[in-house]
Amino acid sequence: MSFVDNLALGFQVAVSIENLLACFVGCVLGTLIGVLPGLGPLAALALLLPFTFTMEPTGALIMLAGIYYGAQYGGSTTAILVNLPGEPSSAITVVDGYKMAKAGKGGIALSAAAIGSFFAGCMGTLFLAAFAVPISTLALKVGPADYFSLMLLGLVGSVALGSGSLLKAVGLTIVGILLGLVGSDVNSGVLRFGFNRLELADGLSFLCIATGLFGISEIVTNLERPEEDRKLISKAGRIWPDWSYLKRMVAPILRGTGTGLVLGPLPGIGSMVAAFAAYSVEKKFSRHAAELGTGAVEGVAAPEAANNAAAQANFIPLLSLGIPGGASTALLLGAMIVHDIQPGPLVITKHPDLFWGLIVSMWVGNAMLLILNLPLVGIWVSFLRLPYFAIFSAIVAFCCVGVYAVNFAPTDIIQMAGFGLLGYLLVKIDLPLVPLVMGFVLGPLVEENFRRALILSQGDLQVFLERPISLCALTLTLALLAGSSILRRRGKLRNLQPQE
Amino acid sequence: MSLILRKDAVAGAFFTVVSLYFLSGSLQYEFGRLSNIGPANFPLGLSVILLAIGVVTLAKSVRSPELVNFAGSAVRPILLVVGALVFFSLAIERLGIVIAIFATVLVASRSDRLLPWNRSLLIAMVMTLLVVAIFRFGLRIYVPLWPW
Repeated sequence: MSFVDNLALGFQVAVSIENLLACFVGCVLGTLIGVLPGLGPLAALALLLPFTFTMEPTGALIMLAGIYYGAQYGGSTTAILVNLPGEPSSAITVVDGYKMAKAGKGGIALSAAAIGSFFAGCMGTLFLAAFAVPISTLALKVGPADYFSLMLLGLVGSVALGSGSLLKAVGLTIVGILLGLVGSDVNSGVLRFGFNRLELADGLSFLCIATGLFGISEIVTNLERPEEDRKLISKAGRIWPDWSYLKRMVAPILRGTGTGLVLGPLPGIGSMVAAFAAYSVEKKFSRHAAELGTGAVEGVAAPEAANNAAAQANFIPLLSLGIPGGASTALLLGAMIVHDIQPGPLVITKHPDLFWGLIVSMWVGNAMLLILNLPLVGIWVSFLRLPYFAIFSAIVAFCCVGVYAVNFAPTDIIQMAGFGLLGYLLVKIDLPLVPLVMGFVLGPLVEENFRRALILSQGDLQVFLERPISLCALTLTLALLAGSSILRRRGKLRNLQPQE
Repeated sequence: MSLILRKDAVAGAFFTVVSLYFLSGSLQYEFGRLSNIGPANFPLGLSVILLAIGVVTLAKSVRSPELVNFAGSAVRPILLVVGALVFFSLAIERLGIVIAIFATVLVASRSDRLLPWNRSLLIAMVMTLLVVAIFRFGLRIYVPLWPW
């Protein structure tokens, strides 16, 4: 089938009533949660995952994807109007966005972010459609040894550029992998590390980990802090930019999109790094570079375009190889496994309707967000005025019923509470949660491919060095580790950290 | 009341405890040969690496200045939120969703110490209605409403 046929198939799937509705609901809920303080795409995905489990897989994934980029949009709205990035990838938007809002140009900043995100989202979708298939045909030549090394690269990539200590991040990844191994061993059937409890035969629940770490622990952490002063919410003001602003946006949006598309597919380089990189690009190349930091529209348009393009491009390794590029896509991978879809090259041939439907729905979703966000920005902002007790009560209620309704297992709630406590402890001592989740999702796959590779090579460890793809991935992994520790020593990574 | 510790010491202790649990666990399973490795090898290898990371982190913590304060003010939200969740897991199949959610939200909302009681009752009522409407009537997930 040609590219056009594929996209046509995707359109057929994406514009069916149910899927349009799924996309719409996902975008609305995602934006809603993304706007709420402290809740970003990860929390949005974790909280809403249970609701998608009763849907059929295509609709569920379309909705989850909608939630994901909806939450990103929502995050930029609060970044601009309240000086509060809803999630790390909008951290840099705060700098110029909030200054614009204070100067009464918040509406223009919002539309720069929305237009930039929309354009980048469209390009990202096209990019994804164009590259996922060739990469997936390549993937059919990828053996277990290669998969092992590629996943290792993904895991290391997700910690190499993060903030904080590399050693501790690697430690957390290992903790995640070990937690992922709890349950019946696929090869021998032995129940491992499960305290001999039958409830744990299928392993720890991915859903409980996600909701516990990103929902429950967030509540406890927030409640412990003293009551913050009410943030000042700026008025949006005029939304539609005039020609002079539109002209100033074009180049930054193009540069930002390019930056995002190049960095997005690399494992572990999430939208946050892309946004920071785009900002640095503007500082070097923009004609208005001197105004950056004082409320320049370029400082909003470029990073917002970049984080959206990267978010979209991040789907490439997930959909073509089954390897998540970051925490959000790791959560989507978990959701796909729950729906009995093994992500990887076979998705495209086995479920072309799902694959192309999802891709086209991303474009549809981006268009919906553009329409939803600009005129309705007042409604979103009003959610910021919700008192925190209402927000956390809702999180508790929905986590409980949502998690219970998936398996009807009351012990799942205890698991969720346990992971909530763990998350609280880890946040308290400044350990990142993302490597833990990445490790948990990938853990069983890493072990399985490691064992399979050794069975195929009859116990010869050199197989990991003999296969070209595996060798490349391992070399890159080592290079990333080395590069990251050198940069850390020089303190160069500090400016990549989100300002919290 | 508060407990002040070095962050890295807590992190190192955490890694060490986790690694020892998985280390002792994996020793009980079967080892294979390299050509067909058993259920023990992979977790064993990882726990050894984790143990090393834990010990190094612990050792380094002596020189690390960063402290963490486990303040007494955290005890209330932790106990109430976790307590509410445990209550929900015990109650959902015995008391039905209406009572379970109402009581869970009521208890959890008390973790905000400045919140007046009537607000707690109000939010518990609103959440119960919302949850029943969404799950029972919206998503048509069958969960008993009442204990009878």
